[in-house]
Amino acid sequence: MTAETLVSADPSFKSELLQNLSNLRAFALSLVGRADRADDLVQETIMKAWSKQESFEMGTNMRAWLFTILRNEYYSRMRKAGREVSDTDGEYTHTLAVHAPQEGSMDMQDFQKALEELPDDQREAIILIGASGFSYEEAAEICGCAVGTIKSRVSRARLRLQELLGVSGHADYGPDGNSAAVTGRAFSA
Amino acid sequence: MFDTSSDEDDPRNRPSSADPNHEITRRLKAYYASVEEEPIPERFIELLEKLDEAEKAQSPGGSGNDS
Repeated sequence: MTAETLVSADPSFKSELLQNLSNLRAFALSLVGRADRADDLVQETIMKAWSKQESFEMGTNMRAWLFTILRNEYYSRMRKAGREVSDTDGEYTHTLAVHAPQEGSMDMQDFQKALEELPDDQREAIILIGASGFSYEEAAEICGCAVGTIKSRVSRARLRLQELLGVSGHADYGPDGNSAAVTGRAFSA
Repeated sequence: MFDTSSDEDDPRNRPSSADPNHEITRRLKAYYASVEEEPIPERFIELLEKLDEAEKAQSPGGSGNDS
């Protein structure tokens, strides 16, 4: 054993974890849709990651490692909650968008709602690939499935989101007065 | 934060705004970024400090763990 492996509270473990927190939070919120639940999930992930830090090899992809922990935690909670919370769930869904990012909120809220509509596997796939910045290979590893599976989930997610958001190519997009006005403003600002 | 390695969504490939996939990706990114840009809640920073302190207290002598 080298001296390095004996260092327990590796300061760079903490700082690397910190650096990844914003991205991890965004992933959690995209996954669960509620800020309080998302942050609970992040907190649990921090504690799990901390207790498992010996199993993490510095220099490897900490982000993927953290995302994997968070994802596992999410699904194990879902399984538990499936039994207990199912009937109160209806009340919660209304407050889903409460967190709603401050600016551009209509757009954001619509998007968050649409995201909620996706099946879990499609939602996580499109987030990991489209927003978190992972490769298909990394996403496959995080989700414990084949690369091809991730690819097909992402494309199904895209199609479904297009449907839900009414984004269906040329006809719908261009001539829409509303969005044209918004785009115009954004460009002139 | 700034991932320049992936060419998946390379802005150079940015098609006209009429591409529905592009529109979905753009909105997803904007949504995600709006959360990412928020400051890290104090509770997480405190939690990390506590974990760190607890660990140090458990193993006095810090890194010099010779036996």
